[in-house]
Amino acid sequence: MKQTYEDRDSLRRVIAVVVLTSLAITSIALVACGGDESTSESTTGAASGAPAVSDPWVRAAARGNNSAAYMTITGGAEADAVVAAELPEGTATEVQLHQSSSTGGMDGGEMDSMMEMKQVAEIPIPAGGSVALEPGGYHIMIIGLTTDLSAGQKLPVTLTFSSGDRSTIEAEVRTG
Amino acid sequence: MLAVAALLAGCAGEQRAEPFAGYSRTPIRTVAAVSVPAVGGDGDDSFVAQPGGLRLVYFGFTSCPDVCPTTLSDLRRGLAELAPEERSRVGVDVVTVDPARDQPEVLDDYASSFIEDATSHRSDDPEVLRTAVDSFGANYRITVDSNGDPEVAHSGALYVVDDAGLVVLAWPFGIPAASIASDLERLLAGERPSDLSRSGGDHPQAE
Repeated sequence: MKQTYEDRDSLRRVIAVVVLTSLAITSIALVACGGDESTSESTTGAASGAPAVSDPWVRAAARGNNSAAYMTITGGAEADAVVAAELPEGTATEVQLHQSSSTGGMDGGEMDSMMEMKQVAEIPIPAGGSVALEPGGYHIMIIGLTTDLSAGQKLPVTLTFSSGDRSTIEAEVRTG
Repeated sequence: MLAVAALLAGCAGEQRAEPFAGYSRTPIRTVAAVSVPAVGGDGDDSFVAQPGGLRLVYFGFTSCPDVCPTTLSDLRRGLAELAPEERSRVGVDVVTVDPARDQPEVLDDYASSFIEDATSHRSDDPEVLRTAVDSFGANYRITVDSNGDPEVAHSGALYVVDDAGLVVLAWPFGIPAASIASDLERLLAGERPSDLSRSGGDHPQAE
């Protein structure tokens, strides 16, 4: 199940509104317990023909730390891939494509599994499908922030696809 | 706040008959004898909770951009769902598995950027760290990639330790904040996973 990244204040606001309008409590409970989908504005690839990007966000972090960018990328009729990601000059030392995955052990067994992270050359986008860059999976790793990333800020992220197309999207900085 | 409380009650009610969102081990592990030095000197080196309380223990490292911030952020949100009295009985401990890169100040800043009152733990002695990790049933591994950069693998679980030093529950990576909150409320109320009740109130020894 996908995780929700709505901050608590916005959740409170949602709850307050729902209670005020006396809607069924069950619908709030579903939102709060299920945590299914965090909806926010979508940004579409600028270049025509480039894959479409939705819900791009970057984790807030202080200067000197690492961070990560997440989004969902939906491809066209043909398979494509993200081959590079860039941030504006003066944001970070390096930006890489990474994948976290589970390895070894078994949760609750003799020894729990481990999460490991590896740099990847590309993030494949299946033909007619989409790839989720999300915590614990594919992500854009931002190494050595040279500036603070604070919640609410917008950060342009430029993606290069294997087709050669480039597309810049505005990712929202969130506390994650 | 009333709305939030009503909501939480609703969630807990749904899950009352359900198992905990986290998992537990049989035989139960004890970490009563385990300690890793607390950074700053004012914290507790051990992981045993105060009477009636719980300690939540995470093994991570500060250059971790994806897995650790996800879990620590979800933990922060989960803790925020607790009533102040409940929250006051919960301590958070972050143990670095990468002490070579995680110098004390860096580690402490990192941990407290997620959970303000977190205690961070660090040891340069690999045996101290390995003993602690093993006792929890956790694991970690540091290798060097082709560029010569360290690659760190580590258990993504969050461990819940009670006031007897028993690891009563663990949450796997990806656990939602709401599940953390509802499990904590039940544990703080004295409930334990049903497969642990067989262990009784004694303190069984880990392997």
